[in-house]
Amino acid sequence: MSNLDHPDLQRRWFPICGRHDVPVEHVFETELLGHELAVWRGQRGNVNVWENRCPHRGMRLSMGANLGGELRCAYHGYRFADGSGLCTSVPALPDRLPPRSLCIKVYPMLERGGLIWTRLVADEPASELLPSLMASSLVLYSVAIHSAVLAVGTLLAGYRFRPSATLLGPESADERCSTSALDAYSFRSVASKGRVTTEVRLFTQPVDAQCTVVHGFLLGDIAEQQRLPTLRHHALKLIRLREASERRGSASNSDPQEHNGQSQ
Amino acid sequence: MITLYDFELSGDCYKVRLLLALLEVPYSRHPIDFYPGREHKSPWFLELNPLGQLPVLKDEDYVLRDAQAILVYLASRYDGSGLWYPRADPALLGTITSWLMFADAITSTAAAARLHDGMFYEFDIDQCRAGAHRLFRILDEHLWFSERSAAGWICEVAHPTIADLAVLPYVQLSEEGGIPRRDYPAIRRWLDRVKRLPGFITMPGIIAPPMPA
Repeated sequence: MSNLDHPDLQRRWFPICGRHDVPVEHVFETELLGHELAVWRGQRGNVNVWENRCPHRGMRLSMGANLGGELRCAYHGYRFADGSGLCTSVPALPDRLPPRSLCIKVYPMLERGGLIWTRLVADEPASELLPSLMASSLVLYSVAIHSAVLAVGTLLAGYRFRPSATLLGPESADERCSTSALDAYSFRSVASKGRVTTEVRLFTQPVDAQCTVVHGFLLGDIAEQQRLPTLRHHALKLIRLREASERRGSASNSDPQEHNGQSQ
Repeated sequence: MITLYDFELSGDCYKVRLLLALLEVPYSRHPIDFYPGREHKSPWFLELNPLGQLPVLKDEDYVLRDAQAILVYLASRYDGSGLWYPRADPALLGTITSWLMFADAITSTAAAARLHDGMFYEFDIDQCRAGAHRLFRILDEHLWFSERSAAGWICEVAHPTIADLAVLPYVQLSEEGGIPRRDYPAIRRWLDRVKRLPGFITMPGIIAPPMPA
């Protein structure tokens, strides 16, 4: 079990959702390394990654309303500005300008490959760990797995799938697939049949010590009629991987004391 | 005149009130003291519904039990648009019915967990929660694909159906049974979608939709 407080993890960019997860007028919620996040798209199209906690009374901001230019807390109606996270209005004090100290903790955000990325500590320039240009054509269904991040990574290194162009036919003996770990949290997987290939990238998001989300996308072009079958194919494969991972976890964590000890 | 034998805190009663509100059908409520009075197990109520369950609907002389059945009846009888329960589309009717069954499964898991936590029912709470999570995973994936290929409703058509109303309440109330929804982003988006329907009403535990002010 990796230590979630390790500085390398705190500084590392992780994907936290796909672009479809943050439509307008919605507030997405997730966690990264045990830190709760509220993620929402503002009216200018940018995505805010905020600590999921109102600085007034601690309410989860993901229960609030995405007004486009502001997020309104569900509890007392405090509003916070798109971009800066500064409080713009306190309903109980309509004539007062809110103090600048009343501000949400804002995390850095990058949109790459159709995924939304963030990191907890941003005391250094944007990391080279993040692939700079990824021509993603299709964002896969993200699957939450109740297993620790490195355990999921071990299984992802054995990820096998079929090339998109062959999905409508039966599997043939000359199909190949191989996956390589780029590091402990990102994976490159290529399936081929002759000269036809499909390449996907998969990434793990350490939600907390017990939970991991797998995100992924396809590289390169894909024909319109292959899109839905491809998405279903990968959702099925990742859900099977989730079953395998959780089965393995429940077998090795039969002693709950030991499990608690590992996760802290 | 329609009478609904009703309990304010019941998600199954609420889904009937919700459809009645969306269809703008007038009705009167007969409150039943489900908790702590257990009036739904009283002799007079068992005569109305031998199963001893809420809700029960009475429309003139017609008496009907079971929330899902009541949704079917009300939509068939009072929905002029024909969209909530499209009787002319056999495949869609089959799909809707499968999701009404799914809603029943959510009642026996997520709603049971809520009865355990909130009203001291003696259920196997771990089993209830695990069962609810198993169903929520299926629902989340289903809704994610419905967003890709249709409008994001439970049935892959351009409009909501009674399947959405049947499934919503005990999903939305799951946190009262210790079942968080952090891992189900497509379910969270769908809840927003249903709650923004014109005429949507609330109940205790189901707050107003997060509308722009």
